[in-house]
Amino acid sequence: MKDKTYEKLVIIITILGTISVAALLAYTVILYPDCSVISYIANKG
Amino acid sequence: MSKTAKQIISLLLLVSAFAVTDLAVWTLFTKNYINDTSPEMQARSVEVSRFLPFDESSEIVRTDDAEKLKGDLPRVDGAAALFPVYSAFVHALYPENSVIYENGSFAPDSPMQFRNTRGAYSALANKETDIIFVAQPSAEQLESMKKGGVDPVMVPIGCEAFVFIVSADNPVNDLSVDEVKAIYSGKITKWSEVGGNSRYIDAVQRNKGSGSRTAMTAFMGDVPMKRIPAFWYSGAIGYSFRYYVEGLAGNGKVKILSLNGVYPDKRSIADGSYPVSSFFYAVYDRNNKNENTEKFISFCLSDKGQRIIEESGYVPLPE
Repeated sequence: MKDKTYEKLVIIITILGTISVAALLAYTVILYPDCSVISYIANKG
Repeated sequence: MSKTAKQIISLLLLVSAFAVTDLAVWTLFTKNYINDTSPEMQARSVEVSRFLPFDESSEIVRTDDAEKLKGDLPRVDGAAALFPVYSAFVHALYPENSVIYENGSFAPDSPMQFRNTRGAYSALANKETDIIFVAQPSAEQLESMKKGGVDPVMVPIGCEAFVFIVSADNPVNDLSVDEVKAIYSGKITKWSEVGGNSRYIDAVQRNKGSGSRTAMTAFMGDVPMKRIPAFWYSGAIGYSFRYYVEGLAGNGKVKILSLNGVYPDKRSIADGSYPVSSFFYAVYDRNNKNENTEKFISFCLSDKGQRIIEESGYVPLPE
């Protein structure tokens, strides 16, 4: 694999990975205020 | 190993690192906050539209033979858990069409409102309402009413149990009062210390100023509460009021614990054997000169009013 191709792949994976983690955290922040104690306990187990 | 093989392995490791991070965030945080109740329940803590007065499909207790109030109707407000009760009172006492509920909320000039516990106490302190139906106030709420020139009269109108809830999968069914206090003060941190599994205990707190948080503060007494974060490998415990869990918000996935070996039901609340039973109140300002306020309170305490409380799922006052 050429170095340039490898570097591009590293950058793309890093960007996509960071976006996925950020999106998941943002979704969590959105869910948090509307979650009742009953739902939380049921989900947590 | 060839250079290309090393590059491919490093790329796979990078992908795996992000996948593991996503999985950790999902498992530890995101999935715990997914609420499977209706949007109305999520936004308002009670499905107001199910318990409206003067609505044929309403699930409130109906009393149609009470004398209707005339003149200046008291403005009423209250806690989510008590919404079906005070809605039934309004249905019994107010002229039909006196309550305006449109597009998911009460009109500003409607004599019936729903702001939940914190909002209701705030509205009473600001003299924006006349009677509120709530659990006991917090020290801050008492201070706020005092600052607003409100002299609160707290009239007990029924009884309810303060309960502790865990997941239905949790093997623990009973705790002693001392064990609960030890959990919420951080002295007991694993379920195995109270007969359960080896998971850590995630002792959930509620918002300050909510009726259940105030009741919890009273329950703990002099024992200071301390939150021990337990995100990983933990099972949760929380608190609320019995009817809210059983009748309004229950989803079959949580269970109520017995305390000191006594399960909170109508009988154990009424006879006082359940250790954390308390009154709930109609609260109004002693300086309120609206004669209908007294009539409203008298109705709450009458046989008809107490029947509404009982048939709504609560425990009426002892005779």
